[in-house]
Amino acid sequence: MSRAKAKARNQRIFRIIVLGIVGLFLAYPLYALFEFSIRFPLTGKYSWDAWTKLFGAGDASRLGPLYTGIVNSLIIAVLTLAIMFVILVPTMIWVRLKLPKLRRVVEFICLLPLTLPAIVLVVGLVPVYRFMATKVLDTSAIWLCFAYVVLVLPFSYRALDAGLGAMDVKTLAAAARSMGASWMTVILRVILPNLRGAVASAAFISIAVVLGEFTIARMLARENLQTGVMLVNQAAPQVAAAVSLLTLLFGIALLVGLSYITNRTHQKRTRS
Amino acid sequence: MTTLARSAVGVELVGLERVFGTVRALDHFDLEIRPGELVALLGPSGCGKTTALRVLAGLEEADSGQVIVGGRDISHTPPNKRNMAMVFQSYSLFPHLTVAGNIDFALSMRKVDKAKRKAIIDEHLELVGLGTHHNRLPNELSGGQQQRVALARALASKPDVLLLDEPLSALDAKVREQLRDEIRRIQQEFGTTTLFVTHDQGEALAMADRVGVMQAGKLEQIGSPRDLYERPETEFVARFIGATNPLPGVVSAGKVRVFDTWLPALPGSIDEGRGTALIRPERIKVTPLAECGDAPGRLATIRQMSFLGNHATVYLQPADGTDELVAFVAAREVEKLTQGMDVLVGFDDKPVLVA
Repeated sequence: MSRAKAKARNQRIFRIIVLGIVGLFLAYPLYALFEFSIRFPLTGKYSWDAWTKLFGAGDASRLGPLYTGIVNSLIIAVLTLAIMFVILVPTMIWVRLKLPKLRRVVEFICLLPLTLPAIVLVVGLVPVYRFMATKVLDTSAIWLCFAYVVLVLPFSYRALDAGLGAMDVKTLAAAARSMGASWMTVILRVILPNLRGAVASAAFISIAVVLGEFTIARMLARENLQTGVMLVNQAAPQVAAAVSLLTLLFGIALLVGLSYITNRTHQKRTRS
Repeated sequence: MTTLARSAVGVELVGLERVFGTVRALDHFDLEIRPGELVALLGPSGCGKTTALRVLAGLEEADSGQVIVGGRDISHTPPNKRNMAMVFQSYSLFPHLTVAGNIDFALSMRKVDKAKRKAIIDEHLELVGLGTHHNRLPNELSGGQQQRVALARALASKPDVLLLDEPLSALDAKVREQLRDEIRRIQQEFGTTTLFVTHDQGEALAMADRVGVMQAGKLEQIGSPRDLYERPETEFVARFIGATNPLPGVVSAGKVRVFDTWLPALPGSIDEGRGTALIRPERIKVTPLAECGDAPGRLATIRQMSFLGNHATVYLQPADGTDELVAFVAAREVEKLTQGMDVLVGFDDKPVLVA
């Protein structure tokens, strides 16, 4: 066997070992969660009770907050993404194209939420939400989307900034403008399609943050997925474990699905 | 029916001024481009040539002055309404679109009928020699191919003015030379009025009908490549275009005496007194002492010779200790010369600029 082939084989084995260790590290907690959901802690007996309760019709009242929380979290995730993209994408593109001196300022503002603990954010958000609930909107949990936009800003900014940094935005825009494209066309037909990967990354991480958020929802007394899990956990810990496991698997499936769809859409569009 | 034919328009840039902070990028800059002409703007980095091009494209707005295209003042018209097309130094193809998709984008922006687009795309890709590359993505093409597609995309939309912003700078030497000739051929075939910005004088001299040399935001001189080379009007142009030997001389009655030889002085030279004559290396005659007879000139020694095929570069050290001279000697003359040989240095009788 040539040295090059032996080197390639060794590299492949090394990759498999590293991937295996990382996979084990990530999968073991899921397995532990699954075992907790089917093994009663005191007796050690295995049973599917938690799972049948979760999907059966008998315990609807006890699991009600959970179902409400799931629906709320999904709506909040969609609204958060929409608001975040509408605000952040045009701003970042415009700053790159026209106001490069403001880039550091925008970066500072977007990264600021990272430095503030959620509990501190809540202190500031409580009066705002009290005002919103009574004067502008209502107490619906879906308005948590405004607070979550702030929470996801740092992660989305980083993903989008990396995407914009990977292309020559100024030259592409100048080329399109010289061909007769309006600014809207430049953003929608030239920059955004090339920002697809970054937009998907920003969406993935934002969805993950929204589905996992607990502190703000709890402190503002709104129902989302995590507060629902907590309530179920108090009454039926094994069911809560099953729900947590399902949530994690749902999150993974959602991210993989979105990634698959965006890749396919891109391939179709570029080849057509 | 061909889609290549088009009518050409003239361009006038009148008194353009553009200041960036404390830097005056354009300083009362005037330029006229005749219909169908290819004008190259040449100058060192930061001289304002790209700013002039961007102002013409509408990508930059001048602080004052006028941009007139086809007799119409478009100084305040946005770039997307100017009917121009630009090829950039960095590859500017849209990475998410195929070769055909890129050209189609340009056509759709100019509202070209969908039914006609395919024929136009085919024709322009054939023109740049990429007739089989319709479905390739930009990252599947070499740098030279990408610039060809960019050129096809620019021309497909039938621009009034084609703007080339150092389109060859990122390419390797061989591809650059090939594409340089191709751009010139296509530009002449289309007759599109073209402004070409470059810092490479070889490109400018080879491609342009006229070359404008810029310095500090101003046009120092504009003329045919030959005019610029043989009849520079300023010291900057003489030194910037090609190589020169700065030699001390004395001007009197329109002539300059250099190394005991009287040469006519070019317009733009100093009127009287001592100055520096700027003499091209190929204007220096190098004669072995044994053959020179009583011809006027100055004694020198050949310090070094580099043979370059059709000519040799000869480095000469004058016997009076003045600065070294560089001469280009035709290949057939080189055989008579050897390193270390004593020679007589003289000049042909063409006019020179004295600064």
